[in-house]
Amino acid sequence: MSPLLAVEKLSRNFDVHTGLFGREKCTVKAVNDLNFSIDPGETLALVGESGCGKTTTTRLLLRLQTPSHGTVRFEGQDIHQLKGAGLKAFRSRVQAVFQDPWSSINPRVRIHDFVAEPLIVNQKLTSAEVDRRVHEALDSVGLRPQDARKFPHEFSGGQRQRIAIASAIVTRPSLVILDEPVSGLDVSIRSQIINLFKDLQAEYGLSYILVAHDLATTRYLADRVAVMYLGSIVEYGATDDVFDSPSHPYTEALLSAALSADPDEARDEIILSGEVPSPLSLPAGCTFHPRCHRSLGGICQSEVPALMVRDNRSVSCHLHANAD
Amino acid sequence: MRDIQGEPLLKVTDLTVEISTKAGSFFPVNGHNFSVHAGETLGIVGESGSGKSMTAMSLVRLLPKHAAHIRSGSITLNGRELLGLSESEMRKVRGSEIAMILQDPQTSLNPAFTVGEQISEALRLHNPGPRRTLRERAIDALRKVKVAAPEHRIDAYPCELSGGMRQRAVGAIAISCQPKIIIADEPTTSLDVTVQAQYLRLLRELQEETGMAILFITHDFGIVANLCQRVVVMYYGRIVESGPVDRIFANPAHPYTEALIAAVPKLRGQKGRLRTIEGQPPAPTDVVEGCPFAPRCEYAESRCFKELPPTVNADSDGEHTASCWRVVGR
Repeated sequence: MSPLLAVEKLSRNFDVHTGLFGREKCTVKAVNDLNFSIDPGETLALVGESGCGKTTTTRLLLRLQTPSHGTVRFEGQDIHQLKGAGLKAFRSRVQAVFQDPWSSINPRVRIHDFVAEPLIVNQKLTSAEVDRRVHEALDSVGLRPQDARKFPHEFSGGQRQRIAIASAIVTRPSLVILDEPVSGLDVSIRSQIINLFKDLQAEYGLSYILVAHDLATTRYLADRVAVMYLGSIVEYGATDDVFDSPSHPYTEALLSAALSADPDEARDEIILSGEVPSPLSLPAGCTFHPRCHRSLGGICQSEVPALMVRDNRSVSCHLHANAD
Repeated sequence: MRDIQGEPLLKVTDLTVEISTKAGSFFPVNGHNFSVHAGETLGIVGESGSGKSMTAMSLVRLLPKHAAHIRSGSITLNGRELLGLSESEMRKVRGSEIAMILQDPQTSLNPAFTVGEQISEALRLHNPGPRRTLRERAIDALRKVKVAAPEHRIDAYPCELSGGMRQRAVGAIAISCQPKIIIADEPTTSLDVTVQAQYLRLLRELQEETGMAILFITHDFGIVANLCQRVVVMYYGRIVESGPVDRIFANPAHPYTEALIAAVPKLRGQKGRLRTIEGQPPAPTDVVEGCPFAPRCEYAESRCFKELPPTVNADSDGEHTASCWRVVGR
């Protein structure tokens, strides 16, 4: 089976002017040499803290930004080379759901028009057909047909997220990018939406790219996970493997910091020192070494660790380079 | 676990806050009873609109003027009634006896003043001294919250600090006057997970050092499980369940607590389908008859929709209480 989406050596740099009057120029490596792929019907999660490049990655995948290097292939085609009809087809095959349902929905349009917009822009359909598709989409996210006439302010946060999801699936995409889709919602609503994502995946065979910082949610939704730190993937593998036996010290710390809602669960507390450094001045060598609790010293400070691939899992850490 | 016997430090009895609008009155805090002992951490959990923050604000009497007022009840700190105090006496209590840490350090710090000036302000108001020692005491407070190089950071403006560092500075202001109790209103929501872990450990260490009590308001059961000894669960302005954390997790008495704990994705164990709570919580302005959770409750009977259940003991020792007809009938 060929992958639905394949990302190769994807990098994106931004030039930033700093100093007095912006005379000094430096480069932020927002995303650095990413490689991953997604099969149809699969969910890949990108996890990491703020500044790790999750958002830039999703923007590159949605073709909202052009890469500095590397390619994104969707169904075999480089999306950054697409034009005309090919681009329109891509736009309706790949959709997104964002974090905040209060700002992602235009408050001045009725739900019907908001949900129908991707259809009208990207596909030529009769208005009867558009109506039918909108009702079908609303139905599959658990809203009623009469809700189509309402305005966004008449809905609660959880319902608004359902509306955003309806608008994302109305074009029958094969890939939906979920950018922190439940972090703005209350706990009792969150589980409804997580289950909805699973149902839609089973029904339509959707692939998801989930961007999240909540590891427990990731575990429920994702088949594979890529842990990112300062623009690079530090660990990549099947979710259960990575969560059961994390290889990279950063993954370890991230898992230890995720508080489990179970007072009896034993956990080793790994408290990292400091915070994520500014992407403007990345540490030399392994970018994680200043905070690493397992640093080997010299080599971590001077050399960038190579990506070690073993049993469908890859880790970029000197600890594991030495283990062989 | 710490000894939490004896008289409570903060005792809230039958506290009700009323908001009067043209459409009528409603009660974001409705008949609250809880207490916090010295050295103890009490968690207040609930979803948005459940009245968590209103509870915090009424404890320090900072409810929005004209809109909301405390209708009845009593709040005592070390046996002293706070509701009868004049505004100037209350100002002395705020900051020196009860301190607060709010959700967003970006908005709780003034961007136009250095961190040092903001810490000294609290110190100057509550126990003044010569300027030189004020600065030293402010540096000391920063050192206590584990800010590296406090001698330099004291002259930094909030914008020059990272999010976690800013929240530490807010913590330094809070502990600078050695308060007896800190009210922390979702202090880690805006922080990254690894920074949140650092901050929670810091709070625990400060508590061990000073023996202060912490009232931790959160929506995150993970934090409750890891930080708190006792917890109060709120729904629609009412306390539906309260008791020791380990007992409530092992044996939740109220269906809302039970469903809420089951709805949180777990890091380990069974994956399967997540349990959900259908529907959504009533808005604070809605008029609800009977138990406010009844429309979403899988055990609801006809009585639940008509009569509000009383708060009763869920355990023999009276530590664990819940407000549910199923518990009443036990």
